[in-house]
Amino acid sequence: MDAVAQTGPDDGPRPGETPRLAFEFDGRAGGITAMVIVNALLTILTLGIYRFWARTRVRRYLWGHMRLLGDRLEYTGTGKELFLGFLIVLVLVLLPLVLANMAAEFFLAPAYPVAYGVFVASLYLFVLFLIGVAQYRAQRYRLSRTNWRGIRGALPGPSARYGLAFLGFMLLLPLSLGWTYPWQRMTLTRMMMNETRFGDRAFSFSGRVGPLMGAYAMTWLAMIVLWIAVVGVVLLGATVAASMLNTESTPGFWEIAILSVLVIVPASPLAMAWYRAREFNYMASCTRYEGLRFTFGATFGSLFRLGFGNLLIVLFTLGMGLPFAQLRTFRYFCQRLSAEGQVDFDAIRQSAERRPGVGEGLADAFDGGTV
Amino acid sequence: MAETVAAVYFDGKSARRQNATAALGPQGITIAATDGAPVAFWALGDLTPAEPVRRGRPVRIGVVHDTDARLLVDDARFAAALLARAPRLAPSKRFLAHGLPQVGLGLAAAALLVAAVIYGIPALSRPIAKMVPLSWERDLGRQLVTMIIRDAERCDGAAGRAALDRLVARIAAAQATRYDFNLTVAKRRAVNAFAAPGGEIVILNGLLKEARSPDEVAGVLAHEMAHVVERHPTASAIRALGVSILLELVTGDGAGAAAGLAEVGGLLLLFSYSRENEREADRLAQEMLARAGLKTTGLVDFFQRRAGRNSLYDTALLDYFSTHPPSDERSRDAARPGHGGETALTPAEWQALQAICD
Repeated sequence: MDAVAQTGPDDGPRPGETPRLAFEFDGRAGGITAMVIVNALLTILTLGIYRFWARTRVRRYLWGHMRLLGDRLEYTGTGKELFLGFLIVLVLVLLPLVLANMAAEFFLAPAYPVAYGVFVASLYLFVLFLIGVAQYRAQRYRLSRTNWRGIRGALPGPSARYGLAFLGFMLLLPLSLGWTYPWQRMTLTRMMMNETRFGDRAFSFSGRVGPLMGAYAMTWLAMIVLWIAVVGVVLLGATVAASMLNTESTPGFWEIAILSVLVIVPASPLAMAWYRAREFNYMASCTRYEGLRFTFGATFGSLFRLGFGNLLIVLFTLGMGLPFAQLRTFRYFCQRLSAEGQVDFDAIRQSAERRPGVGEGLADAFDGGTV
Repeated sequence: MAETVAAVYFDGKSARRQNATAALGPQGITIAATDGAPVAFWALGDLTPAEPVRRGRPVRIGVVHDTDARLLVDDARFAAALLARAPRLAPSKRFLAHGLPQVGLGLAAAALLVAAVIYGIPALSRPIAKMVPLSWERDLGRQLVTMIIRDAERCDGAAGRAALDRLVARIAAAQATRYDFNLTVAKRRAVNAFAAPGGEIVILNGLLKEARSPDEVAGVLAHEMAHVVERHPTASAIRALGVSILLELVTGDGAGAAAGLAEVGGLLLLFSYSRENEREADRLAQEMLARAGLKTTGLVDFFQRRAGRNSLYDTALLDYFSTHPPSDERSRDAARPGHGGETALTPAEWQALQAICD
């Protein structure tokens, strides 16, 4: 069952066929149930402080059950690193932000309302920037703590550049009514992927916006239709309810808006699944590592089921079942991701990039984080 | 003589999958290439299990001095022998050595957190409050009052205002303090009054209507002034800030915290004083009233009448009575000084004060 039993044969290509690298995942929900329960209990008992160790245990399981060419990945991060990362961010970033905000609110706001407005606006911009930085640095930490065949991943490059790009796109998104979204995805993915290393070799990403624009336009229109439909149904339902209760009152603007948002927010990612499947497949096909070309086999139905199932899992466990959702996501990606081509793994040397000593403090504070 | 088994070795320098052999001796593991050429020797004490070593499971092991190198051995006897030589690699021992301390540390940290909220922050808030410059306190207090009381709610009946200012000045003259008191009367039905940092005091109209004599109002007023003198509101604001910061440690939600928590969490805790604080304020209020030559029975009368009617009027955060000592107890405490002294306001002034919002 283990790597040792399957020594060798995968490396050499057989004549006449393109060698194909499969990703395998043999994690099971049953394998993490006890861990998830213990983690949840300890996290509650320690008022949340245990979450860093809980996350680490889940990652060890997920990484350890993923195999490439028969060899398992290994997560080498520790809970302590995450905890320290968080403490550092708490003291150096969060505290100053909160104090500055409070000070401005009490001392700047009454005397200089305009200056206060500018301050609050820049604070929100800064937090957006920090979210981008957090995503980049979290990815750097995770890559640096991923070991496969004794080799680490890495993500050098300035995280501030990514943070600025993220901030810019987040401002453009509402201004463009959402039309800059594919551009945002391609640019941010390129910024991250082109810096991503495994050992001393870099990945490269050549995705462009054009091939996705058609699919996105369809989705954008579908979202508009969905929005109108939801508002219509809410309006109709409210009117019917009002007439049955013999009340004169018609639903107010805010009631409709709130109800619509309540329906649309969970529905949106699912409505996006059709675009998302195309996006994932395209992104994979634009990604190279040495001689490898990647393919991804996402379909609307499967991605919808994945997203819908994960949503239900997280909702019904009040978030504590998140690891189950992550496990499903890992399995989905491993099942559908494959690579073609040849790599001389023997020639790949260890990454010379500096490993971050602590991890993900910013992500814990500013970005919900995925895994 | 150590038994030699097949192994896979990753040297941590390249992604090469190296078929090798491993031999477990009394000192450690000797790793050799399949042709017998020596590769590495890992001493037992230096081994770090990439995952806990279990009987009947493939062994995946690393070494301290070469953090990325890995040795994989899928051999039941090897795993058993390794566990016999280095029991600390077993899951149960790993749990004792790493898992248990983690859990213990987490629980201790949580206990520390709770202790900090209950004891640490309150204990620190008074000394810190003493270091806050007066101008900060004033700005903070004014800002808080404008946040809580809308301009349209302010009552400024001229005659009532004059009566109130005279009463405040009389009580204030009896107490040496760095604060100038600034009274705000707000048109609300709740029976409530509170003090904000820097001498800001708010009285809700409901309290003026509920009071049966000017002495009762004077008692409440002196009580709030005493809070200011003792810097309770400032200490309370500091506590609120401290708690909101600790809350972030628990939730880790910085984005939300930076934006809203400071305000909401702050207001929730603001003006919530401990019983000790309340008794302090009661005591000082009695002294101030006595020194000002006023009747000291008003506060007692007011609370006795209100006994058992807590939260009847107002369920808001700032409910005056929910944070105050049980009225029976406090009427006993406050009943000590004599019944002498003048009535706080003339009948005409009292009428004007009660009509300040009309």
